[in-house]
Amino acid sequence: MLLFIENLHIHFSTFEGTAKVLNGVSLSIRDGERVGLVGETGCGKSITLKALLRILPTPPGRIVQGRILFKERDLLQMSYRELHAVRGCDIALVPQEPVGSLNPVFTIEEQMVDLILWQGRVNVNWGTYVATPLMGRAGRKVARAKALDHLVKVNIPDPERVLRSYPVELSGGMCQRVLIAMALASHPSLLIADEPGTALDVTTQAQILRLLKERVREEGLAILYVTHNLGVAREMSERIYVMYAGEIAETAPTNQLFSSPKHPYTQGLIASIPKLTGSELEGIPGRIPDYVSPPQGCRFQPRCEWAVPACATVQPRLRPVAAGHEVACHLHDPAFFQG
Amino acid sequence: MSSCLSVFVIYMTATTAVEATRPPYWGDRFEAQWEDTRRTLHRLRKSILSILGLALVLGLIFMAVFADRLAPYPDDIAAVHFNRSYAPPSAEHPFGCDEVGRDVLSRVIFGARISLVLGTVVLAIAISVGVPLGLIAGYVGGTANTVIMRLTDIFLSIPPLVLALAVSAILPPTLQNSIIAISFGWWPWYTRLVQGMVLSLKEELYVEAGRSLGAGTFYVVFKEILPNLLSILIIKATLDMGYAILTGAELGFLGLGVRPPNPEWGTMASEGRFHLPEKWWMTTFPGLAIFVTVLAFNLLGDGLRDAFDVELE
Amino acid sequence: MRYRDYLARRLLTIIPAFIGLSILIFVIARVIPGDAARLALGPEATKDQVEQLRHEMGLDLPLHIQYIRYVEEVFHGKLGRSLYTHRDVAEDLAAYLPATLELTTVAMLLAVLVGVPLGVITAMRKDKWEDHGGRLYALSGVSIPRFWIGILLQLILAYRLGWLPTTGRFDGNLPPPAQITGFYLVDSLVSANWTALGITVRYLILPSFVLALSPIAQIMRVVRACMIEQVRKGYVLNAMANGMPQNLLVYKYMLKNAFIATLTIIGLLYGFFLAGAFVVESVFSWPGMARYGVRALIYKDFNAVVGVTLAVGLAYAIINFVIDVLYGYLDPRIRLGYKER
Repeated sequence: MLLFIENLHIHFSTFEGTAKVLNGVSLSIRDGERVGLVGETGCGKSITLKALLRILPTPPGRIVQGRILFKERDLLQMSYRELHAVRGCDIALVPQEPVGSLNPVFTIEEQMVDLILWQGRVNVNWGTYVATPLMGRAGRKVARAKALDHLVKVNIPDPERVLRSYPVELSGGMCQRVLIAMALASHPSLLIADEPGTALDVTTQAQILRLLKERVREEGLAILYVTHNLGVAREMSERIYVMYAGEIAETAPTNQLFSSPKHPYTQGLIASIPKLTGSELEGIPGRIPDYVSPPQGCRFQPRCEWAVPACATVQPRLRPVAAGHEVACHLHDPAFFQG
Repeated sequence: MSSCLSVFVIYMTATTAVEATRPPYWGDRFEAQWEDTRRTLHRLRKSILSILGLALVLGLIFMAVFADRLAPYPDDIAAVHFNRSYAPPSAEHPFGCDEVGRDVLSRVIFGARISLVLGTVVLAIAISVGVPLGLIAGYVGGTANTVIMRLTDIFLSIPPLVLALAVSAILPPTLQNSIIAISFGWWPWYTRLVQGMVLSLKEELYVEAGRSLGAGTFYVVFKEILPNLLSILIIKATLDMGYAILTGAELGFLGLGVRPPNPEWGTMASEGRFHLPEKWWMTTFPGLAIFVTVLAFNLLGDGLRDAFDVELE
Repeated sequence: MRYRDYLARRLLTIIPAFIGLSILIFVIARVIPGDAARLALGPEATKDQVEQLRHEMGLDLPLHIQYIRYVEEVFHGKLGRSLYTHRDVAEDLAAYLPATLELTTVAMLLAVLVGVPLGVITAMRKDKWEDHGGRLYALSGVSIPRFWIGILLQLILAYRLGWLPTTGRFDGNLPPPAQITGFYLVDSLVSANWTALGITVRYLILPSFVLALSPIAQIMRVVRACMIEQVRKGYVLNAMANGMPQNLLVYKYMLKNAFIATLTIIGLLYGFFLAGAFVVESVFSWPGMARYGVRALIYKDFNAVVGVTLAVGLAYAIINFVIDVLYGYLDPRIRLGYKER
């Protein structure tokens, strides 16, 4: 197992009280597996992602319980030294916002070279840093050649020019490609993609997705693709986790999830994908619940059309219904109705 | 006491009223909620400081208004008592006496009058000249904007104190003339601030909406734009009150402000300077008075800025 | 190409403002006092003598003609006679200006070199004791009257403890460094006169510190606010997530952004230094232009007043133009014309 998130609980202290944002999220990714994490805005997927990269601001956030095992080591217990050896080097992020995720006042070259040279350290020794361009020009030169190489790999037409450019001089799509190149520069084994390209127009986004898929396949790395768009997730992943209000509602291989969705929430999500056949769009009534005082039992129960009284008392656990297919819903738990 | 209380109530009401109209959350919902908590705590702590500032300001006003009753030797604005020249601080004269035996404490108390009048009038002039010009420049635009802003640029191309010095040199050294000299370089800052804000507010949708609904220029300026400017103007004026007083004291110190025997703090500190270090009280206490006064307005302004949640420049 | 346009545009706002300032100061100095000739000659002079001098000084001409004549003189390097030193004001300024520029520039460097790190520290230690201390310092730093703190420090550090010289710019018993630029620091460095350098520095410490006290606080607060703003920026999250070393991120990537945002304030603060010089030079008997200016103001020496005011305006304009150049140099968005300032 490459990544194993086990029973992760995250709370936020807010003015109204403690928001129980993640309520026992478990998620696993095998080597080279492409996994999608799908849910509405505010369902906690970006919190999961931030916790995983340890860039969650704490406080306000607090990891109450759970483990995040990456290659058998708990990311949450790591010292900064150990963390920096993993973050960026073995797990890399492709962020959502293309232009804003690059520093506006440094060239792409500066940013990529620094990353390639210094990634993996908690702090740079300023002596070494200053000396690098002076005596070891080679170091920066090699790094620059690497950067150029990575830019070529993400199909950037004029990589020399892009290296010399500042982010403002590049289009959004180009910046997104640069970000992918930066993430892949360290040859990570896990890539985390936070809806890259959502801010771009549809054609550019499609190109970015194709590129990402291609790179991931070629490098043979695992990817966690976080999105609110089930259609995109279907495109990008072999297996999908559906998240609702800080809990995993369902997980299944992509095809199976689409052919036989079990959780009412998944069914609703699939029904609300726009289709070319022109049938009427269905949505899910209601909205994500309040996290300070979430509904008792199943968090989806107030919006669920099949909810039975028992749903409002007992929290459903993820339970296998088929090979690799798990769902957290009482309706699919025969034992629950018998007992 | 009751006036004290009512000012406090107004202040607190203003603070809470503004909280209701805060800009929308940024970023993640939970971070925003946490940010809210943190801000409230922060505001509470800040408000202790700003209440301290408010108390000091009220105290100063009180001191200025009742100077003749509070001062132990009210005649010492101008009186001469050679028998107690340079008397060091004692029970009768806590701040000591100056070269002609005037009680420094009494003079410091009377000095509050001069400083507060100076600050208030300078700001009144600066605001009543600067704000309308800024409104015209920002709202009307075109030639009016160009003419006003180029004029403002000229005044802004030199530090206000230097301009005030140049003007005060040609006028007889009185309080009015100090006020005129300082105001001369003060208004353009308001013009620029207001012009910039009107420009950005103009862009905002609701003013557009107001105009398309047939609202007149007058209505738009006074009902839509001015209220938006008000909080920022109040904060800037509070902070500037301190700086105007400081500038007045510096003029006095350089011998170009209010002349002796008027008990102006800067002038007093300047007179005492030539008797240092033995007669330290003559400089220390007037200087301390300036420091506390300016600090009070800064505390209050800083607290208001936090309460209104706005950024200045 | 665009950078040049940007700089040209900045110059086009600075130059007219400076010309406007010269007219303004000229009018103030000529119109209101009425009788500069009477002041020059003193009360004993006869009416005829005064008329004679008025005519010689051109004070009987219309104001715009007077201004044109003045500008002509300026192009010949003359700023009119000082009533007090009986020299041309231009000569006086040449003698006094370096001392003031040295003082204000050192103070500005001090303010930036101290204020920026303090700003970064208080931002990184937000809501910890360092930050509270910084806030306290900032509030009192901007409230303290410069002349008062100057006098107190002079009294304690120089007079009582004798650590530093009380007044002046150089030891009166020793020869000052060879006159090359008029800036003692530069002169003593160029002529490798280390004793003189040491003395110059000792004399500079107190006045420049007093001058920088409030600007340090102001720069600190702006840098702090900008750094805190940076933390929320996407590029910081991305850099963190991709393993950029912490100190590189803070002191290189975030600080450059924060510093650019601070530059505007630093430009404004130079005006504050120039104004502060009038007070500080008086306190420390610093033989500079501002002290000369104060004397000119008190003796109603109007040619000198106009000269000093214009010199201040010019120094302020030049520094602000330098800041503009720097701004464009540091911020590619400005240089490449993607953003208006």
